[in-house]
Amino acid sequence: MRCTALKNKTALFLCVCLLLLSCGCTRAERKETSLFAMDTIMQITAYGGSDDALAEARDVIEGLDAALDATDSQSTLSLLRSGDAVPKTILEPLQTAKKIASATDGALDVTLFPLSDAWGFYTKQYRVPPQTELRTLLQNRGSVSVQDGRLVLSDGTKLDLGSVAKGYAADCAAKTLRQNGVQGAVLALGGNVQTVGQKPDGSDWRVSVADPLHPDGTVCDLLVGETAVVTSGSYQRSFTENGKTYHHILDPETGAPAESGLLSVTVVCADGTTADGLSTALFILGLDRGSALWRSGEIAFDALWITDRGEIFVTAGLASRVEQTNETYGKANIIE
Amino acid sequence: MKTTKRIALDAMLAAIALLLFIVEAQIPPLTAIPGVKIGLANAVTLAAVCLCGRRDAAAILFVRVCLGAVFAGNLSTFLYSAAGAALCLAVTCILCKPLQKTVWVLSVFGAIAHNVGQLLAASVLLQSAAVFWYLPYLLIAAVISGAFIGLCVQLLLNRLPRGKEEKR
Amino acid sequence: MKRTGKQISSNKLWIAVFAAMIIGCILFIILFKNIGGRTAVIYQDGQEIARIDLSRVTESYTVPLDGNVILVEPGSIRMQSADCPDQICVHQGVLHDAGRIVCLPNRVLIEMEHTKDAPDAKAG
Repeated sequence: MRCTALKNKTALFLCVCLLLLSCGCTRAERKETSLFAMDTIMQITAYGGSDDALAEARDVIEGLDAALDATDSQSTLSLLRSGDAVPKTILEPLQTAKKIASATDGALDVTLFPLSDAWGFYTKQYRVPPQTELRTLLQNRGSVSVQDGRLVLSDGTKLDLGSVAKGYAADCAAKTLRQNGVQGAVLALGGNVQTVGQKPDGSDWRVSVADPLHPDGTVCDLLVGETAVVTSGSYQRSFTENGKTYHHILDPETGAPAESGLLSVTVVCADGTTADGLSTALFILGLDRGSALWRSGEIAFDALWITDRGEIFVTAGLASRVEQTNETYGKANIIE
Repeated sequence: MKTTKRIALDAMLAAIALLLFIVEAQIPPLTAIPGVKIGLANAVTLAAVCLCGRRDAAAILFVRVCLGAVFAGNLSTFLYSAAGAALCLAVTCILCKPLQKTVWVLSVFGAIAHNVGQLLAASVLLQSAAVFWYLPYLLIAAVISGAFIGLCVQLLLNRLPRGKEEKR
Repeated sequence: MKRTGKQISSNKLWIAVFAAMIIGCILFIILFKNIGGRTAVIYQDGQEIARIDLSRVTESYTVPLDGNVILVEPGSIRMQSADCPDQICVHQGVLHDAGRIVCLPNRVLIEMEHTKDAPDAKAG
């Protein structure tokens, strides 16, 4: 039996093509890791990229956790004194926080450490401080600014970047993943979600929003591209005393948990640090002032508010990307 | 071909096939999908069908599958291997006449039959049809690896002296 | 070895046929990929052994089987160990919302039940 064949050159060429093809066939591998940092569990899932991508992202997050921890007296943040040069890892989140503060009439405040501490949100030994104590702490609140790259901190002021730290960590870790050639990744830093690149099948990332009344469940899914999705809600950390529930998002005006008629605010924004800080600020501002900020366009973002009456409000830019999954909440109202 | 020469040739081909099979078993899996491999040993089966005829190819394959399980496998890998090999051989033997001028096509059909045979065995052993979700992945793998192996065999046959093809 | 026009065209024809087949398979994989849920079902020897809603798992635990140990974690499931030589099922890693892990030697199958699209992450 004779096997007539192609010309040898053609056959060789085909062989090489097929070898290349079989290499190209291995799809972006799914890798994931989880770690405990910033007082929460963090999960990173990445598609493609170098073998060290996840380990490097972990290192970045753990480094920032150690540097930005206000409760640790030995952290870079705590050791920073007035007049010191501000390192980049503190300067960047601080500047974003200041920008949000000025856009929201001071709703985001990086000097509230003594207040949160008085409520026991750091030590988890919760108490309701008396009005006089709150008033004194609020009055003694100092100011923070940066001039010529040096920190200007009024006496007795303690800097706390907890409101933007997770968002900043997400930004930095996302950058590291991109540098390592990752094609797609999703970082869930304790409910702070950051997506990177594209899903391997090219579809949108699907990020669900927690149900503030039953945090195990969800209210809706958001279909998003590369962005940050951050939710701030009163359900995330709270304690009950004498039948009243106190949550951890303190209003800088009163020094007490913000009462803005909201259960949670979810911010969708390209910058993770901004999304993190803004979600806190929008929770304090409430629906009306928050939607006014969105209309003003001072900061580019989209948001989804859930009010304590079970209503959902969503900005026009996000409305088409919301898929509601929970029937106990009414149909989303669109803010234009 | 003389009987002694034939036995020697068959034994040598069986040894080469076994060697390729064992070598390939040492290579870590290329993908996360079980069953996807290059199938180097199938090159020998294919060459044997072309060079020595169907009966000798079947004998070589039988020896390779049995010894392969002894050297690099266990009972269940033997069952998958045997099911795949049997279906592969059957399809190759049926198609070797009409496709004798395009060995790579013959090889692709053989590879597809091999993978389908393995899936059939798996679905019987696992008592589940769910394994057939793998079929599209395995079909893609079969086309690529089958064409690759087929072209290699085609090149090999072109280089062998014509004398090997004499009528027995 | 004379090449005729007819032979080249038959090569081209087969290349087209197999290319079409690959494209068909890829389409099939893409179309049916998103069918997946959060409930994992474990089978051994074709018998259903356990049905686990991964979204309700709060603490990790293991499911020991004959020859295999399955690790169930919040939101995921994987083969922790197997006594087979190839360890393919162990290397297959973690299942979240779609797909299946098969241990052929021990006839163990972990399969995700098919439901609607599962989210990639949860905010809040």
